[in-house]
Amino acid sequence: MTVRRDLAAHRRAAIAGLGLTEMGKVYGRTARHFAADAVRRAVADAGLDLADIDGLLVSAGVTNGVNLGLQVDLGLRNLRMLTQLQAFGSTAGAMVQYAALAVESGMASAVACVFADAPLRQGRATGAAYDRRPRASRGWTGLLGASGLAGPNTFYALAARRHMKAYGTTSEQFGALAVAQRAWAVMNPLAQLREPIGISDHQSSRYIAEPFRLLDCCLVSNGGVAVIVTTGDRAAALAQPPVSILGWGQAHPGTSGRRDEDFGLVSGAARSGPAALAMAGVTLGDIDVLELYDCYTFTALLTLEDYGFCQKGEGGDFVATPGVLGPRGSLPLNTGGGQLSSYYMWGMTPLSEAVIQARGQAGDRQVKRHEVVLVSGNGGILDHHSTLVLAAA
Amino acid sequence: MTVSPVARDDASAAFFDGTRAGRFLLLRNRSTGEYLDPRTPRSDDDGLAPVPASGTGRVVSWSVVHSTPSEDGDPVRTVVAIVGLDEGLWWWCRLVGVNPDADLFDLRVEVDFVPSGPDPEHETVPVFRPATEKSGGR
Repeated sequence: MTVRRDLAAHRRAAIAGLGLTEMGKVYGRTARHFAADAVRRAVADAGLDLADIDGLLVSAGVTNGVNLGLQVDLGLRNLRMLTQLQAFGSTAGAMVQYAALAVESGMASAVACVFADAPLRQGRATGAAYDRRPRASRGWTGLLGASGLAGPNTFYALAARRHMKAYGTTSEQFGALAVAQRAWAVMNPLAQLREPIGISDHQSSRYIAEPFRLLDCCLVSNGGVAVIVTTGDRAAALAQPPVSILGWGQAHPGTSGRRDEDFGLVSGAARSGPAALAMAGVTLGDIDVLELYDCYTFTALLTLEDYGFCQKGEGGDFVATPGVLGPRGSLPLNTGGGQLSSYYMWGMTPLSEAVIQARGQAGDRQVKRHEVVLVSGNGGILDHHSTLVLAAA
Repeated sequence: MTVSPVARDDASAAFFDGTRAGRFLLLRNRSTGEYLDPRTPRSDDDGLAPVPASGTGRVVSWSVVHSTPSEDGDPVRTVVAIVGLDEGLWWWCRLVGVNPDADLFDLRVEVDFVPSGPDPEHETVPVFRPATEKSGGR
Protein backbone atom coordinates (compact mmCIF):
# COMPACT_ATOMS: atom_id res chain seq x y z
CA MET A 1 0.00 0.00 0.00
CA THR A 2 1.21 3.48 -0.85
CA VAL A 3 1.82 5.55 2.23
CA ARG A 4 -0.09 8.64 1.27
CA ARG A 5 2.06 11.00 3.29
CA ASP A 6 4.82 10.31 0.76
CA LEU A 7 2.67 11.51 -2.13
CA ALA A 8 3.01 15.10 -3.23
CA ALA A 9 0.11 17.06 -1.70
CA HIS A 10 -1.28 17.93 -5.12
CA ARG A 11 -1.81 14.23 -5.83
CA ARG A 12 -4.00 13.76 -2.74
CA ALA A 13 -7.67 14.68 -2.56
CA ALA A 14 -8.42 17.59 -0.27
CA ILE A 15 -11.32 19.26 1.45
CA ALA A 16 -11.63 22.69 -0.14
CA GLY A 17 -14.92 23.95 1.21
CA LEU A 18 -17.01 23.79 4.37
CA GLY A 19 -20.59 24.97 4.72
CA LEU A 20 -22.53 25.11 7.97
CA THR A 21 -26.10 26.31 8.16
CA GLU A 22 -27.67 27.74 11.28
CA MET A 23 -27.87 24.77 13.64
CA GLY A 24 -29.79 23.83 16.75
CA LYS A 25 -33.35 24.80 17.57
CA VAL A 26 -33.88 26.29 14.14
CA TYR A 27 -37.51 25.71 13.19
CA GLY A 28 -39.60 26.13 10.09
CA ARG A 29 -37.05 24.75 7.65
CA THR A 30 -36.95 21.27 6.18
CA ALA A 31 -33.94 18.97 5.97
CA ARG A 32 -33.95 19.52 2.18
CA HIS A 33 -33.72 23.24 2.70
CA PHE A 34 -30.84 22.83 5.17
CA ALA A 35 -29.04 20.49 2.75
CA ALA A 36 -29.24 22.89 -0.18
CA ASP A 37 -28.19 25.78 2.04
CA ALA A 38 -25.19 23.82 3.36
CA VAL A 39 -23.98 22.91 -0.14
CA ARG A 40 -24.32 26.51 -1.37
CA ARG A 41 -22.34 27.71 1.64
CA ALA A 42 -19.61 25.09 1.14
CA VAL A 43 -19.29 25.96 -2.56
CA ALA A 44 -19.03 29.66 -1.75
CA ASP A 45 -16.54 28.96 1.04
CA ALA A 46 -14.32 27.11 -1.43
CA GLY A 47 -14.51 29.93 -3.95
CA LEU A 48 -16.27 27.73 -6.47
CA ASP A 49 -19.54 28.07 -8.40
CA LEU A 50 -22.35 25.54 -8.07
CA ALA A 51 -21.76 24.66 -11.72
CA ASP A 52 -18.28 23.40 -10.76
CA ILE A 53 -19.82 20.59 -8.68
CA ASP A 54 -19.94 17.37 -10.68
CA GLY A 55 -20.43 14.91 -7.81
CA LEU A 56 -22.97 14.89 -5.01
CA LEU A 57 -23.12 12.52 -2.02
CA VAL A 58 -26.18 12.85 0.17
CA SER A 59 -26.68 11.67 3.77
CA ALA A 60 -30.02 11.86 5.55
CA GLY A 61 -30.50 11.80 9.31
CA VAL A 62 -33.13 10.30 11.56
CA THR A 63 -36.00 11.98 9.70
CA ASN A 64 -34.75 10.70 6.34
CA GLY A 65 -35.50 14.13 4.95
CA VAL A 66 -33.00 14.43 2.10
CA ASN A 67 -32.49 12.33 -0.99
CA LEU A 68 -31.28 12.47 -4.58
CA GLY A 69 -33.84 15.18 -5.29
CA LEU A 70 -31.26 17.55 -3.80
CA GLN A 71 -29.61 17.64 -7.23
CA VAL A 72 -32.68 19.30 -8.76
CA ASP A 73 -33.18 21.53 -5.71
CA LEU A 74 -29.69 22.88 -6.37
CA GLY A 75 -30.15 22.98 -10.15
CA LEU A 76 -27.11 20.77 -10.70
CA ARG A 77 -27.00 19.45 -14.28
CA ASN A 78 -25.10 16.47 -15.66
CA LEU A 79 -23.54 15.19 -12.46
CA ARG A 80 -20.96 12.45 -12.93
CA MET A 81 -21.60 10.96 -9.51
CA LEU A 82 -24.76 11.01 -7.35
CA THR A 83 -25.55 8.67 -4.47
CA GLN A 84 -27.30 8.64 -1.13
CA LEU A 85 -25.27 6.84 1.54
CA GLN A 86 -26.31 5.32 4.83
CA ALA A 87 -23.86 4.08 7.41
CA PHE A 88 -25.43 6.16 10.19
CA GLY A 89 -22.90 8.09 12.26
CA SER A 90 -20.02 6.80 10.16
CA THR A 91 -21.52 8.18 6.93
CA ALA A 92 -19.81 11.58 6.89
CA GLY A 93 -16.35 10.00 7.07
CA ALA A 94 -17.37 7.42 4.46
CA MET A 95 -18.63 10.13 2.09
CA VAL A 96 -15.27 11.89 2.23
CA GLN A 97 -13.53 8.57 1.53
CA TYR A 98 -15.64 7.80 -1.55
CA ALA A 99 -15.33 11.39 -2.73
CA ALA A 100 -11.53 11.15 -2.40
CA LEU A 101 -11.53 7.95 -4.45
CA ALA A 102 -13.69 9.65 -7.07
CA VAL A 103 -11.56 12.76 -7.53
CA GLU A 104 -8.27 10.85 -7.40
CA SER A 105 -9.51 8.46 -10.10
CA GLY A 106 -10.85 11.26 -12.27
CA MET A 107 -14.44 10.07 -11.98
CA ALA A 108 -15.41 13.50 -10.69
CA SER A 109 -13.52 16.72 -10.04
CA ALA A 110 -15.45 18.41 -7.24
CA VAL A 111 -17.75 16.41 -4.98
CA ALA A 112 -20.15 17.95 -2.47
CA CYS A 113 -20.84 15.73 0.56
CA VAL A 114 -23.82 16.84 2.61
CA PHE A 115 -25.73 15.84 5.73
CA ALA A 116 -28.92 17.52 6.88
CA ASP A 117 -31.66 16.72 9.35
CA ALA A 118 -34.54 18.46 11.09
CA PRO A 119 -35.75 16.18 13.89
CA LEU A 120 -36.64 18.98 16.34
CA ARG A 121 -40.12 20.39 16.21
CA GLN A 122 -41.26 23.42 18.14
CA GLY A 123 -43.16 22.49 21.28
CA ARG A 124 -42.00 18.87 21.32
CA ALA A 125 -39.43 17.53 23.76
CA THR A 126 -35.92 17.01 22.40
CA GLY A 127 -35.88 13.45 23.71
CA ALA A 128 -38.88 12.59 21.55
CA ALA A 129 -36.92 13.31 18.39
CA TYR A 130 -34.94 10.07 18.53
CA ASP A 131 -37.56 7.89 20.22
CA ARG A 132 -38.71 5.84 17.29
CA ARG A 133 -40.97 3.52 19.23
CA PRO A 134 -43.43 2.15 16.68
CA ARG A 135 -47.06 2.92 17.44
CA ALA A 136 -48.13 -0.59 16.52
CA SER A 137 -45.45 -2.97 17.79
CA ARG A 138 -45.12 -6.06 15.67
CA GLY A 139 -42.70 -8.93 15.35
CA TRP A 140 -39.15 -9.00 16.69
CA THR A 141 -38.59 -5.24 16.67
CA GLY A 142 -41.97 -4.84 18.30
CA LEU A 143 -40.98 -7.28 21.02
CA LEU A 144 -37.84 -5.26 21.81
CA GLY A 145 -39.79 -2.01 21.90
CA ALA A 146 -42.58 -3.50 23.99
CA SER A 147 -39.94 -4.68 26.46
CA GLY A 148 -38.58 -1.15 26.85
CA LEU A 149 -35.61 -1.50 24.51
CA ALA A 150 -36.18 1.37 22.11
CA GLY A 151 -33.92 4.17 20.97
CA PRO A 152 -30.16 4.59 21.09
CA ASN A 153 -30.03 5.85 24.70
CA THR A 154 -30.97 2.44 26.08
CA PHE A 155 -28.73 0.41 23.80
CA TYR A 156 -25.68 2.58 24.42
CA ALA A 157 -26.44 2.54 28.15
CA LEU A 158 -26.24 -1.26 28.10
CA ALA A 159 -22.93 -1.03 26.25
CA ALA A 160 -21.54 1.53 28.70
CA ARG A 161 -22.64 -0.48 31.74
CA ARG A 162 -20.84 -3.50 30.39
CA HIS A 163 -17.65 -1.48 30.03
CA MET A 164 -18.06 -0.18 33.59
CA LYS A 165 -18.50 -3.70 35.00
CA ALA A 166 -15.61 -5.13 32.98
CA TYR A 167 -13.06 -2.38 33.61
CA GLY A 168 -14.28 -0.38 36.58
CA THR A 169 -15.11 2.68 34.47
CA THR A 170 -17.17 5.20 36.47
CA SER A 171 -19.82 7.82 35.85
CA GLU A 172 -17.43 10.47 37.16
CA GLN A 173 -14.95 9.46 34.46
CA PHE A 174 -17.66 9.89 31.81
CA GLY A 175 -18.29 13.26 33.43
CA ALA A 176 -14.66 14.30 32.99
CA LEU A 177 -15.17 14.08 29.22
CA ALA A 178 -18.38 16.12 29.35
CA VAL A 179 -16.75 18.83 31.50
CA ALA A 180 -13.65 19.07 29.29
CA GLN A 181 -15.67 19.32 26.09
CA ARG A 182 -17.90 22.02 27.54
CA ALA A 183 -14.77 24.03 28.33
CA TRP A 184 -13.92 23.92 24.63
CA ALA A 185 -17.51 24.81 23.66
CA VAL A 186 -17.31 27.97 25.74
CA MET A 187 -14.89 29.26 23.08
CA ASN A 188 -16.94 28.07 20.08
CA PRO A 189 -19.44 30.60 18.71
CA LEU A 190 -21.14 27.76 16.81
CA ALA A 191 -21.83 25.75 19.98
CA GLN A 192 -25.35 25.43 21.36
CA LEU A 193 -24.21 24.98 24.99
CA ARG A 194 -21.55 27.46 26.13
CA GLU A 195 -22.05 27.71 29.90
CA PRO A 196 -19.09 26.12 31.71
CA ILE A 197 -19.92 23.05 33.81
CA GLY A 198 -18.15 21.14 36.56
CA ILE A 199 -18.20 17.52 37.53
CA SER A 200 -20.94 18.20 40.10
CA ASP A 201 -23.20 19.53 37.33
CA HIS A 202 -22.67 16.27 35.48
CA GLN A 203 -23.31 14.18 38.58
CA SER A 204 -26.50 16.06 39.44
CA SER A 205 -27.95 16.05 35.93
CA ARG A 206 -30.99 13.80 35.67
CA TYR A 207 -30.74 10.21 34.57
CA ILE A 208 -31.86 9.38 31.05
CA ALA A 209 -30.99 5.68 30.92
CA GLU A 210 -28.68 4.64 33.74
CA PRO A 211 -25.71 4.83 33.76
CA PHE A 212 -26.23 7.81 31.41
CA ARG A 213 -27.21 11.18 32.77
CA LEU A 214 -28.41 14.05 30.63
CA LEU A 215 -24.85 15.41 30.34
CA ASP A 216 -23.60 12.08 28.96
CA CYS A 217 -25.89 12.42 25.94
CA CYS A 218 -25.43 14.38 22.75
CA LEU A 219 -27.60 17.26 21.67
CA VAL A 220 -30.23 16.96 18.99
CA SER A 221 -29.99 19.64 16.32
CA ASN A 222 -31.67 20.83 13.16
CA GLY A 223 -29.32 21.96 10.41
CA GLY A 224 -26.99 20.89 7.65
CA VAL A 225 -23.26 20.62 6.98
CA ALA A 226 -21.46 20.12 3.67
CA VAL A 227 -17.87 19.74 2.57
CA ILE A 228 -16.37 19.99 -0.93
CA VAL A 229 -13.77 17.39 -1.87
CA THR A 230 -11.57 18.08 -4.86
CA THR A 231 -8.11 17.28 -6.14
CA GLY A 232 -5.12 18.58 -4.24
CA ASP A 233 -3.84 20.79 -7.04
CA ARG A 234 -7.24 22.38 -7.54
CA ALA A 235 -7.76 22.87 -3.81
CA ALA A 236 -4.43 24.72 -3.61
CA ALA A 237 -5.72 27.29 -6.10
CA LEU A 238 -9.00 27.94 -4.29
CA ALA A 239 -10.11 30.31 -1.54
CA GLN A 240 -9.33 28.28 1.61
CA PRO A 241 -6.24 26.55 3.01
CA PRO A 242 -6.62 22.99 1.65
CA VAL A 243 -7.15 20.17 4.11
CA SER A 244 -5.45 17.14 2.65
CA ILE A 245 -7.06 13.71 2.99
CA LEU A 246 -4.14 11.68 4.21
CA GLY A 247 -5.67 8.34 5.16
CA TRP A 248 -8.87 6.58 5.96
CA GLY A 249 -10.49 3.39 7.15
CA GLN A 250 -13.82 1.80 7.91
CA ALA A 251 -14.81 -1.13 10.09
CA HIS A 252 -18.15 -2.87 10.36
CA PRO A 253 -17.73 -5.70 12.89
CA GLY A 254 -21.10 -7.34 12.21
CA THR A 255 -21.87 -7.81 15.89
CA SER A 256 -25.27 -9.48 16.20
CA GLY A 257 -25.95 -8.84 19.86
CA ARG A 258 -27.13 -12.43 20.02
CA ARG A 259 -24.08 -13.82 21.83
CA ASP A 260 -20.96 -12.49 23.52
CA GLU A 261 -19.05 -10.61 20.83
CA ASP A 262 -17.29 -7.92 22.87
CA PHE A 263 -20.37 -5.66 22.77
CA GLY A 264 -19.58 -2.53 24.76
CA LEU A 265 -15.93 -3.48 25.19
CA VAL A 266 -14.45 -3.00 21.70
CA SER A 267 -15.80 -1.18 18.64
CA GLY A 268 -14.89 -1.04 14.95
CA ALA A 269 -12.49 1.76 15.86
CA ALA A 270 -9.96 -0.91 16.85
CA ARG A 271 -9.59 -1.90 13.19
CA SER A 272 -10.54 1.29 11.39
CA GLY A 273 -8.09 3.51 13.30
CA PRO A 274 -4.90 1.52 12.67
CA ALA A 275 -5.91 1.06 9.00
CA ALA A 276 -6.30 4.81 8.54
CA LEU A 277 -3.01 5.60 10.27
CA ALA A 278 -1.18 3.01 8.16
CA MET A 279 -2.63 4.40 4.94
CA ALA A 280 -1.64 7.90 5.97
CA GLY A 281 1.82 6.81 7.05
CA VAL A 282 1.55 8.42 10.48
CA THR A 283 1.48 7.15 14.05
CA LEU A 284 -0.59 8.18 17.07
CA GLY A 285 2.30 10.39 18.15
CA ASP A 286 1.89 12.45 14.97
CA ILE A 287 -1.75 13.31 15.76
CA ASP A 288 -2.13 16.94 16.86
CA VAL A 289 -5.91 17.16 17.19
CA LEU A 290 -8.63 14.52 17.75
CA GLU A 291 -12.24 14.95 16.74
CA LEU A 292 -14.06 11.85 17.93
CA TYR A 293 -17.71 10.93 17.53
CA ASP A 294 -19.36 11.45 20.90
CA CYS A 295 -23.04 10.55 20.72
CA TYR A 296 -22.36 9.70 24.38
CA THR A 297 -19.39 10.43 26.60
CA PHE A 298 -18.80 6.67 26.62
CA THR A 299 -18.48 6.52 22.82
CA ALA A 300 -15.53 8.91 22.80
CA LEU A 301 -13.91 7.08 25.71
CA LEU A 302 -14.22 3.73 23.94
CA THR A 303 -12.81 5.18 20.72
CA LEU A 304 -9.78 6.57 22.59
CA GLU A 305 -9.08 3.04 23.85
CA ASP A 306 -9.69 1.37 20.50
CA TYR A 307 -7.47 3.85 18.66
CA GLY A 308 -4.73 3.10 21.17
CA PHE A 309 -4.38 6.43 23.00
CA CYS A 310 -4.52 4.34 26.18
CA GLN A 311 -4.70 0.64 27.02
CA LYS A 312 -7.98 -1.26 26.68
CA GLY A 313 -10.01 -0.74 29.81
CA GLU A 314 -8.00 2.27 30.97
CA GLY A 315 -10.07 4.88 29.13
CA GLY A 316 -11.78 5.99 32.32
CA ASP A 317 -8.55 6.68 34.18
CA PHE A 318 -7.07 8.27 31.07
CA VAL A 319 -9.79 10.88 30.50
CA ALA A 320 -10.02 11.73 34.21
CA THR A 321 -6.28 12.29 34.61
CA PRO A 322 -5.74 16.00 35.29
CA GLY A 323 -3.94 17.75 32.47
CA VAL A 324 -5.01 15.40 29.69
CA LEU A 325 -8.29 16.83 28.37
CA GLY A 326 -9.68 20.34 28.01
CA PRO A 327 -8.25 23.52 26.46
CA ARG A 328 -5.09 23.41 28.61
CA GLY A 329 -4.66 19.65 28.38
CA SER A 330 -2.08 17.62 26.53
CA LEU A 331 -4.64 15.97 24.22
CA PRO A 332 -6.83 18.38 22.21
CA LEU A 333 -10.04 16.31 21.93
CA ASN A 334 -13.34 17.54 20.52
CA THR A 335 -12.14 21.09 20.44
CA GLY A 336 -15.47 22.58 19.41
CA GLY A 337 -17.36 20.91 22.24
CA GLY A 338 -18.34 17.86 20.22
CA GLN A 339 -21.83 16.50 19.86
CA LEU A 340 -22.26 16.82 23.62
CA SER A 341 -21.98 20.61 23.63
CA SER A 342 -21.73 22.12 20.14
CA TYR A 343 -24.14 20.64 17.59
CA TYR A 344 -25.32 17.19 16.55
CA MET A 345 -24.86 16.72 12.83
CA TRP A 346 -23.94 13.04 13.05
CA GLY A 347 -20.40 12.52 11.63
CA MET A 348 -20.30 16.05 10.29
CA THR A 349 -19.80 17.37 13.83
CA PRO A 350 -16.27 15.96 14.27
CA LEU A 351 -15.48 16.43 10.56
CA SER A 352 -16.44 20.11 10.47
CA GLU A 353 -14.41 20.96 13.57
CA ALA A 354 -11.46 19.02 12.12
CA VAL A 355 -11.55 21.14 8.96
CA ILE A 356 -11.80 24.36 10.98
CA GLN A 357 -8.83 23.35 13.19
CA ALA A 358 -6.67 22.06 10.31
CA ARG A 359 -7.18 25.36 8.48
CA GLY A 360 -6.21 27.32 11.56
CA GLN A 361 -9.56 29.15 11.61
CA ALA A 362 -10.79 28.15 15.08
CA GLY A 363 -10.28 31.55 16.69
CA ASP A 364 -10.06 31.46 20.49
CA ARG A 365 -10.08 27.68 20.55
CA GLN A 366 -7.46 27.20 17.84
CA VAL A 367 -4.99 24.46 18.73
CA LYS A 368 -1.42 25.66 18.09
CA ARG A 369 -0.18 22.50 16.45
CA HIS A 370 -2.79 21.42 13.91
CA GLU A 371 -0.87 19.67 11.17
CA VAL A 372 -2.51 16.25 11.53
CA VAL A 373 -6.10 15.74 12.66
CA LEU A 374 -7.76 12.39 13.42
CA VAL A 375 -11.53 12.17 12.88
CA SER A 376 -13.89 9.36 13.81
CA GLY A 377 -17.45 8.46 12.88
CA ASN A 378 -19.55 5.88 14.67
CA GLY A 379 -22.93 4.56 13.63
CA GLY A 380 -25.64 2.22 14.76
CA ILE A 381 -25.01 0.77 18.21
CA LEU A 382 -21.21 0.68 17.77
CA ASP A 383 -21.92 -1.17 14.49
CA HIS A 384 -20.18 1.09 11.95
CA HIS A 385 -16.97 3.05 12.19
CA SER A 386 -15.10 5.39 9.87
CA THR A 387 -11.77 7.13 10.39
CA LEU A 388 -10.13 10.00 8.55
CA VAL A 389 -6.61 11.33 8.91
CA LEU A 390 -6.55 14.92 7.66
CA ALA A 391 -3.56 17.20 7.23
CA ALA A 392 -3.03 20.90 6.83
CA ALA A 393 -1.58 20.82 3.32
CA MET B 1 -49.07 -3.56 32.34
CA THR B 2 -45.38 -4.45 32.55
CA VAL B 3 -44.80 -4.25 28.83
CA SER B 4 -46.62 -2.56 25.96
CA PRO B 5 -48.67 -4.46 23.36
CA VAL B 6 -46.91 -6.46 20.67
CA ALA B 7 -48.45 -8.48 17.84
CA ARG B 8 -46.94 -11.34 15.86
CA ASP B 9 -45.79 -11.36 12.25
CA ASP B 10 -44.89 -14.37 10.10
CA ALA B 11 -41.29 -14.46 11.29
CA SER B 12 -42.19 -14.41 14.98
CA ALA B 13 -45.34 -16.58 14.87
CA ALA B 14 -43.70 -19.82 16.04
CA PHE B 15 -41.95 -18.02 18.90
CA PHE B 16 -45.20 -16.46 20.15
CA ASP B 17 -46.99 -19.81 19.85
CA GLY B 18 -44.36 -20.96 22.32
CA THR B 19 -44.71 -18.07 24.76
CA ARG B 20 -48.51 -18.55 24.80
CA ALA B 21 -47.83 -22.12 25.94
CA GLY B 22 -45.32 -20.92 28.55
CA ARG B 23 -42.29 -22.04 26.57
CA PHE B 24 -39.23 -19.96 25.62
CA LEU B 25 -38.22 -21.38 22.25
CA LEU B 26 -34.75 -21.21 20.80
CA LEU B 27 -33.59 -22.86 17.60
CA ARG B 28 -31.20 -25.76 17.71
CA ASN B 29 -29.08 -27.26 14.97
CA ARG B 30 -30.06 -30.95 14.81
CA SER B 31 -26.62 -32.16 13.78
CA THR B 32 -24.27 -29.92 15.77
CA GLY B 33 -26.48 -29.25 18.79
CA GLU B 34 -25.67 -25.52 18.54
CA TYR B 35 -28.32 -23.15 19.87
CA LEU B 36 -29.38 -20.26 17.66
CA ASP B 37 -31.41 -17.13 18.31
CA PRO B 38 -35.11 -17.57 17.49
CA ARG B 39 -34.86 -14.55 15.16
CA THR B 40 -32.49 -16.48 12.85
CA PRO B 41 -34.02 -16.40 9.35
CA ARG B 42 -35.38 -19.87 8.48
CA SER B 43 -35.23 -21.78 5.24
CA ASP B 44 -36.47 -25.20 4.18
CA ASP B 45 -34.14 -28.01 5.22
CA ASP B 46 -32.04 -25.68 7.39
CA GLY B 47 -31.65 -28.48 9.90
CA LEU B 48 -32.94 -26.31 12.73
CA ALA B 49 -35.61 -27.27 15.22
CA PRO B 50 -37.42 -25.11 17.78
CA VAL B 51 -36.56 -26.33 21.28
CA PRO B 52 -37.66 -25.02 24.68
CA ALA B 53 -34.80 -23.26 26.45
CA SER B 54 -33.99 -23.71 30.10
CA GLY B 55 -35.22 -20.16 30.56
CA THR B 56 -32.39 -19.34 32.94
CA GLY B 57 -29.33 -17.18 32.68
CA ARG B 58 -27.32 -14.34 34.17
CA VAL B 59 -27.42 -10.56 33.75
CA VAL B 60 -24.62 -9.44 31.43
CA SER B 61 -25.59 -5.77 31.46
CA TRP B 62 -28.59 -3.67 32.51
CA SER B 63 -29.96 -0.17 32.31
CA VAL B 64 -32.58 1.66 34.32
CA VAL B 65 -34.54 3.76 31.84
CA HIS B 66 -36.17 6.91 33.21
CA SER B 67 -39.26 8.28 31.56
CA THR B 68 -42.27 10.44 32.27
CA PRO B 69 -45.21 8.86 30.45
CA SER B 70 -47.41 11.95 30.79
CA GLU B 71 -46.59 15.55 31.64
CA ASP B 72 -48.25 15.51 35.07
CA GLY B 73 -47.43 11.85 35.77
CA ASP B 74 -44.73 10.52 38.06
CA PRO B 75 -41.39 9.54 36.57
CA VAL B 76 -41.20 5.83 35.81
CA ARG B 77 -38.11 3.64 36.03
CA THR B 78 -37.97 0.46 33.96
CA VAL B 79 -35.12 -2.02 34.03
CA VAL B 80 -33.90 -3.62 30.82
CA ALA B 81 -31.09 -6.10 30.50
CA ILE B 82 -28.96 -8.31 28.35
CA VAL B 83 -29.32 -11.81 29.77
CA GLY B 84 -26.70 -14.42 28.95
CA LEU B 85 -28.82 -17.56 28.61
CA ASP B 86 -27.47 -20.84 29.91
CA GLU B 87 -27.57 -22.06 26.28
CA GLY B 88 -24.87 -19.50 25.47
CA LEU B 89 -27.04 -16.95 23.67
CA TRP B 90 -27.79 -13.36 24.66
CA TRP B 91 -31.36 -12.16 25.11
CA TRP B 92 -32.31 -8.47 25.38
CA CYS B 93 -35.35 -8.09 27.61
CA ARG B 94 -37.32 -6.47 30.41
CA LEU B 95 -36.17 -7.31 33.92
CA VAL B 96 -38.88 -7.39 36.60
CA GLY B 97 -38.91 -7.91 40.34
CA VAL B 98 -35.48 -6.36 40.85
CA ASN B 99 -34.24 -3.41 42.89
CA PRO B 100 -33.32 -0.77 40.27
CA ASP B 101 -30.74 0.71 42.64
CA ALA B 102 -28.87 -2.58 43.12
CA ASP B 103 -25.86 -3.87 41.23
CA LEU B 104 -27.58 -6.43 39.01
CA PHE B 105 -24.46 -7.71 37.25
CA ASP B 106 -24.27 -11.50 37.09
CA LEU B 107 -27.66 -11.83 38.82
CA ARG B 108 -29.14 -15.27 38.25
CA VAL B 109 -32.49 -14.81 36.43
CA GLU B 110 -35.28 -16.91 34.94
CA VAL B 111 -37.94 -16.33 32.33
CA ASP B 112 -41.53 -15.45 33.11
CA PHE B 113 -44.36 -14.80 30.69
CA VAL B 114 -46.66 -11.79 30.82
CA PRO B 115 -49.53 -10.67 28.59
CA SER B 116 -48.49 -7.64 26.54
CA GLY B 117 -52.00 -6.20 26.16
CA PRO B 118 -55.73 -6.82 26.57
CA ASP B 119 -56.60 -7.77 22.98
CA PRO B 120 -56.56 -11.30 21.55
CA GLU B 121 -53.82 -10.30 19.09
CA HIS B 122 -51.58 -9.05 21.91
CA GLU B 123 -48.96 -11.70 22.46
CA THR B 124 -47.51 -13.15 25.63
CA VAL B 125 -44.02 -11.73 26.15
CA PRO B 126 -41.01 -13.24 27.92
CA VAL B 127 -39.55 -11.13 30.74
CA PHE B 128 -36.86 -12.13 33.22
CA ARG B 129 -36.96 -12.04 37.02
CA PRO B 130 -34.59 -13.14 39.79
CA ALA B 131 -34.31 -16.92 39.76
CA THR B 132 -36.00 -19.02 42.42
CA GLU B 133 -34.09 -21.92 43.96
CA LYS B 134 -36.22 -24.39 42.04
CA SER B 135 -34.86 -23.09 38.74
CA GLY B 136 -31.28 -23.49 39.87
CA GLY B 137 -30.42 -20.10 41.36
CA ARG B 138 -26.79 -21.00 41.63
